[in-house]
Amino acid sequence: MWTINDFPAYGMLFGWSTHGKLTCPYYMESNKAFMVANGGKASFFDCYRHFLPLNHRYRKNIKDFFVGRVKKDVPSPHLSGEELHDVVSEYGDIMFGL
Amino acid sequence: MTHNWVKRSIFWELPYWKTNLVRHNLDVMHIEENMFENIFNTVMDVKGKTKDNIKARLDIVLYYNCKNMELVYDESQVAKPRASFMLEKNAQLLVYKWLKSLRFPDGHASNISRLVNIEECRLYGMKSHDCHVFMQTLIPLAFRDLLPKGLWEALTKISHFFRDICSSKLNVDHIERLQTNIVETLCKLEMIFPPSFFNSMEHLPIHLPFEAKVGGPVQYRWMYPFERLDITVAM
Repeated sequence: MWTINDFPAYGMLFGWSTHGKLTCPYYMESNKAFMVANGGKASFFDCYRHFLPLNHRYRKNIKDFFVGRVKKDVPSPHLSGEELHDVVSEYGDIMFGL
Repeated sequence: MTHNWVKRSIFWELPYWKTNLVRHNLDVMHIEENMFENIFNTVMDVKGKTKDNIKARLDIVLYYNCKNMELVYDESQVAKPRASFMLEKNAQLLVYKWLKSLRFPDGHASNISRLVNIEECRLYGMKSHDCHVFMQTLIPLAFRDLLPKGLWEALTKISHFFRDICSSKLNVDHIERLQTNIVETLCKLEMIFPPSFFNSMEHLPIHLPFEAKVGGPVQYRWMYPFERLDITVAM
């Protein structure tokens, strides 16, 4: 059994808000989005190169992506259901939204 | 703030919930629709809808090295130079005229020629399913020879990605290839579009192959049937 919803409702059912820069429900805290200075919104610019193989030529490209940035990191693994359950239980006693 | 948790979902009380591989499905319908709208509005430079606005151009200076996209200050005026991914006015007209003359098989999509407003250079009242058809079949045709080759290829790959992920039959090897391809395609888009183009909807396609691998074909896990049901309920 699973659920299917649009993205705002996804946040409500999952309990992880899908607003702001920590939008992605898979990478959660470890996602690489940032707030752009002038637009004021979250941007996932330069957040895909770390999925590439380590020897990919795009990783060393300092010109066409984020200026002067070489990507050496690898994506963090998804949290499994058990791990998520532990995390959620940890936050369980806190009254959210207060 | 280091996390986005807002509540403990009631689903965690289900005994099997933590052993599920996919608990909530990402909705391919909305992702495809939003992505199509972002791409189309930005490429066609639709006023008020394009992601390439003045603020985006101000951000380009900070994060992205592209001299010919920076704003030009001229005494009291600010000019926004035309970006390489933007179609010129006469090319836009060509696309809209082509859309105007378009005929689909019965029941394939709504009559797109009726949605085109050539004077205002806008598409009005595109439904999710029209976006779906446009994304999967029309994007490669509409922009062929009009956009620079690199961008056209990247957009075509996005189009093919959605067509492949939505197919009724998937095999695991193919899905793994889709995963590597979509990352590379998004990297290619990053080299072309400004940072503000990449909102969360442009990020989510990289999780779709994983969900397809675990959950099976997309047609059983997307919002179309429920969106249609909403109409029935409302009536």
